Amino acid sequence: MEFTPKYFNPAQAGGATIDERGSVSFRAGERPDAVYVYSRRTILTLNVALATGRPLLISGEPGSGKSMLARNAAAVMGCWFYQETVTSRTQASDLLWTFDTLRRLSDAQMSGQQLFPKNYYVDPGTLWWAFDPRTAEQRGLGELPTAHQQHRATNPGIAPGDGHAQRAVVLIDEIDKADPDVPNDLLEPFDVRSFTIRETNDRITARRDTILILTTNGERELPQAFLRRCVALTLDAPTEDWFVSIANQKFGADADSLHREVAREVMRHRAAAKKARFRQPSTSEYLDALDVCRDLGIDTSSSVWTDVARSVLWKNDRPPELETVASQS
Amino acid sequence: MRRPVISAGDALRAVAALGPGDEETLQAIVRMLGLNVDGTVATRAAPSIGAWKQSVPKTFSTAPIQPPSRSPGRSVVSSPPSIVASRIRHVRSGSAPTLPGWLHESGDVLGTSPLESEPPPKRPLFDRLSRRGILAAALATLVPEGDLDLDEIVAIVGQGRALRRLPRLPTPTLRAGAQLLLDVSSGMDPFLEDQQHIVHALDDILTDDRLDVLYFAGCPGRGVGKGARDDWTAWTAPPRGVPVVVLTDLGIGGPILDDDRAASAEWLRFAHHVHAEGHPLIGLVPYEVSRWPAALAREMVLIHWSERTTVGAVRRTMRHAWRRLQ
Repeated sequence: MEFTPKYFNPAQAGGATIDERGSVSFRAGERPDAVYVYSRRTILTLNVALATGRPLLISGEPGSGKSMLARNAAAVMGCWFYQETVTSRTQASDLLWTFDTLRRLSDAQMSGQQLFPKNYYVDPGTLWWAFDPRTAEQRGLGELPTAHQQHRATNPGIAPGDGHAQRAVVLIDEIDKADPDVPNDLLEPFDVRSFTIRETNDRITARRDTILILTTNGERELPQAFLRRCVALTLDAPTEDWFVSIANQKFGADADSLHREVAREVMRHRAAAKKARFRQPSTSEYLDALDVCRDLGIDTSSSVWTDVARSVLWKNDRPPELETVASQS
Repeated sequence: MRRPVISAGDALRAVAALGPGDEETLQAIVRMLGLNVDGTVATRAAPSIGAWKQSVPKTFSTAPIQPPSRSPGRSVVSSPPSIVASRIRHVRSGSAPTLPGWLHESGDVLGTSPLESEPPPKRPLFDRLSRRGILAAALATLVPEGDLDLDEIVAIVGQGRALRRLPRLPTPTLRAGAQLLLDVSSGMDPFLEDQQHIVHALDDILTDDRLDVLYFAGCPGRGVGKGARDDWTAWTAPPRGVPVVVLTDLGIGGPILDDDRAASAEWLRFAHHVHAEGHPLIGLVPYEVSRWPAALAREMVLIHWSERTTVGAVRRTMRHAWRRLQ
C-alpha cells in the first residue's frame, strides 16, 4: 500500500519502530495496553477518517485491539483522550450532559438552604468535554462565582504530553450495545458540532477539533444511516506474530522466545475459547501472563503454568478443551 | 446542519490528500468509505461477528481497473476528481449479486449441473443482523428502574407528602430470562432450522441459566418436555414474570387432518392459563398475519416471524402489549 500519511503517521512519533512488513509499533506510556502495532491498512484508514472528518467505526473480534487503537492513536497525535463505554441503557444525550434532578430536588426540600442555579446540577458528558472543556468545567456558565468553585466539574480526559492540545479523540466503546436510535442521535451533535442543554437552554459549541472513534463487537445491527456516515475499519484477529511484536515493544526483544512461547499458548486458548463460546483472552491478558512469567521467572513448561493460565487467561471455572484444539492444529 | 451521508466527495477529498500510489490503496480507500470503485454492486453490512472472517465480500468485483498512467514516483491517481468521480458509485445496501450467465446454460462442463448441486443455505426467517435486536425487544420485561418519574414526584411534593421511595419510570430488561416452547408438529417442519437459529440466538442473549427450552406438539396445553414425547408432562409455569415464548404455527400449517394440529380454542385456553399465572405470552408465527386467528391475536402477543420484521416494529408491538397489560 502506497500513500502519503498526511494526517496520521505513527512512524514519525518519537520512539516508534517499523518492522519489515511496514507495521509501526508505538508505545504511549507504561500501561499494559499502551503499545499498539499499526498495520499499513490501519494507518491508511485513520488518515481517511481524518481527511474526511468522518467518525471511524472499528469492528473486530474481542481482543483484536479496537479500544487500544483509539487510545494509542490519541497519544500519537498528541490529543486529549476521552472514553465512554456504552451499555444497553446509554442514551445519546448521556454523552452530552446529564441533569441531576434528584440532587436539585433534595436541595429544594432543605429548609434554609439556598437553591443553586440550574447549571450547578448539569454534569458534562464525554462529548461536551471533548468539544469545549472550559464550559464543561464551568457547567455551561461563563464563570462560576469565586465562592462556588467547589462546583467546578472535573475533566475526565487523559491529557496529552503537553496538556495544551487543541484536538481531542473520543472513544465510544461497544456502540452495538446501545439501543438502535443511539448511534444516529449521537452523530447529530457531532456533525453540527454544537448542542443545547435542555434544562438551562445554554448553547454549547465545539472549540476543539474532535475525532470520534466508535467500536463494535457486532452484537447488534447498526442503522444504515449511521453506517453511511462512518469510515469503517475491520481489524484482523490477533496473530501470534502480532502478540510477539507488542511484547517486544513493551519488554524489549531480549526475551523474544518467552514472548513467542506465551503467545502460542494464548493462541491455543483463544482457539479453544472460541470453540467453547467463552470469552477469548486478549492482548492485555497476554501481557498479564507475560508479566507473571517474568516476575516468577517461569515459562510455559513450568508446573505452575496451568495455574497462571487459569487465573489470567481462562477466568472461568470450566477450562476450554485445549487438547482437542491442539490435536486439530 | 447535519452532514449528508458519505459520497464521492469524501472519496475525492481522501484521495487528493493521501495520494494513493497503487490500485490496491485506491480501492481500499473507496471501500472503507462504503463506496464502490467500478460500479459493481457490493453490500455494506453492519460490521458483525463473522465479518472479519471474510476479507473480501463475495459480491465485490476484483476485476482490475485501468489506471490512467504509471510513471515512477508519481501517484497512480494523478487527477482524482476527473478519474475517480466517474468510477465511484454509492454502494446499494442489500442488493443481490448478478448471477453469471454460465449458470443458466444447459451444458454441464464439470459433469454435474450447478443447479443440481447442493442447494444454497436457507436464508433465516429473521435477518441475522436484526435477530438479536428483535428477540431482545420481544423478550424484554419492564422494571421500575428507569429515569425518575418526575410527574409522580411533582404530584407527591405538590401535595406536601414526603417522598418515601423514589418513583422511577419503567425500563425494559432481559434479566427475567424466558421459557421457550418449540412446536414440533408437522406444520413447523419447514421451520426446524429457523427454530434452531432462534434457540442459539436466545442462548447468546440470555445465557444458559436464564433460558428454559421445552418442546410441544400442537399446543403446549397438551404437554411439554425436553426429551422423548412419551416423557412429556403438563406445562408448568416458570417463576413469576418470566415471559413464555412459543415458536409455533398456531395450527395454521401442516396436513388438515393431522392430530397435532391445534384449534384456536385450545390455544385460547392455554393463553388464559399463562396469563393467570402472571406471564406474558409471546408467539413467533412464521405464517402471514392475515392467517392468524383473530381471537388469538387479541389474547397473546404475536410477532410475524419473517425477514420483513424489523426491530422497530417489534418494539411498537411490545409497547402496545405492555400498555394493554397495565
